[in-house]
Amino acid sequence: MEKLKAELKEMIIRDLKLQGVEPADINDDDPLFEEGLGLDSLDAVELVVLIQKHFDVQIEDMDEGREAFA
Amino acid sequence: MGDNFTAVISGRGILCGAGVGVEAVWQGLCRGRVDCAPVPERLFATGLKFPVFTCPREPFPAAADSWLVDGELRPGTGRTLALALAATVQALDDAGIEAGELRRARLGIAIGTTVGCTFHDEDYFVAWRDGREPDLDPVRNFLGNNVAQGLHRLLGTHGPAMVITNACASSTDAIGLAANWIATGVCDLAVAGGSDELSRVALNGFASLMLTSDAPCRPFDVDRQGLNLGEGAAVMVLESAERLKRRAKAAPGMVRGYGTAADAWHPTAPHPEGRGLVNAIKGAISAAGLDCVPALINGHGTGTRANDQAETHALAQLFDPAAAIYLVSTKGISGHTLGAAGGVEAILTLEALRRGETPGTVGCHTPDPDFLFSPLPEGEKVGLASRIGISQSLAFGGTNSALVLEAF
Repeated sequence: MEKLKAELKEMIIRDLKLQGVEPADINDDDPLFEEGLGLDSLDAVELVVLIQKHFDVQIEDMDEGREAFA
Repeated sequence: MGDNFTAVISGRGILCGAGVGVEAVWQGLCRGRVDCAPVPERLFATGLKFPVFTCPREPFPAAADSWLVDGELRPGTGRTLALALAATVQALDDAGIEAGELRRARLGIAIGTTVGCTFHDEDYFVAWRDGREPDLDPVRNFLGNNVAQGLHRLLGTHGPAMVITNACASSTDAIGLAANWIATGVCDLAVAGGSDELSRVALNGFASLMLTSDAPCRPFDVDRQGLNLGEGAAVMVLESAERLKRRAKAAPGMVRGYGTAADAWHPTAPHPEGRGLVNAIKGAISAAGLDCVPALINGHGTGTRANDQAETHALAQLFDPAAAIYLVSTKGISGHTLGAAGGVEAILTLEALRRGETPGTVGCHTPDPDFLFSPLPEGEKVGLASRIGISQSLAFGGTNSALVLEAF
């Protein structure tokens, strides 16, 4: 589980090109959007696609993605 | 549009992922050249790896600077405007029109776009959202990049200017509108078509609707998985037959009719039976007063499940599926260029009609057997029985637009 979390944080920083953020800066329960990592709706779309590819899971539609991130 | 609705197409300019110029793009189509890849870093950063079709890094060639009233491209000229300008000067050269003549004419400019002059500067947005005070350059660029006004300013020309932002039907509408300007004498000459650069907002928007394909698109194929986006611009020079006769110039063809109709069905999905498209095509044919059936239909053919289904369903209601009427999509070599798509496809439709033949749909190997109207698949090439064709576009918002074109 820890490995998965680390992998996820690295992927978010690398593929969403977050500047000046290290995996250690992200707490497990930080919100992704607004006050947390500051991601926006464009990033959310990329995150859904990235997670599907990276972890080989199927997210059927973006509403399902929205629930998963909430 | 009455019986005497005529606008001659005297010049054509095009650039897209398949090449620069009508000849290059046509050859790309005939060879089935598919040159797409993930968004290059030079355009914008994205985590999405969907393949897209791109244009040259500098779309406007320095060799064309003599067209510009300032002698060079102004700083702050956006990519969509530069693409439009590149297509426009190609079309003017093709029409045999010189800069001096152009500046004396009443020139109408109608350009379709979806990206247009919207903000691209996400840094600006982020800074603004965070309550900082970002530099105002993005605002100045926004104000200076209205595509139709920008073309007038760069070329030093005068006349009506209209930007049409009607999603993927934008440039089909722009050509229809400008043809009407010519037919009714609003202007002497018109430059009409569309232009769109790739944008992160559009790419992520299509991705969020699950409409983008991981692989090169396969319009009308049974295994189609979605669309590829592309950037590009395509422009026609339109004028009256009388004007063209006075300057003793040959022209490749004319706009015979234009029709547009709404589905009133769904914000982003077409009516499943193509209700609005049927009405748009009927309108275009009625305006054209056609005395013979079209030989070619260049479909919207994006390669999404819903579009291709709706489009073929609509065509089966209008035309005999057994007749020698060939349906193709050319998006396999250009991707979906959104606001430029109608222009790109109108130009390719006319080129096929002029040559009297069409290659099949690049990317379509096995036409979907559920379609009521079958497309011409990749690898086939057929002769066309008439010089008349239809170029059609389906748009978000439920708009459908169609042009009837005739080659001389």
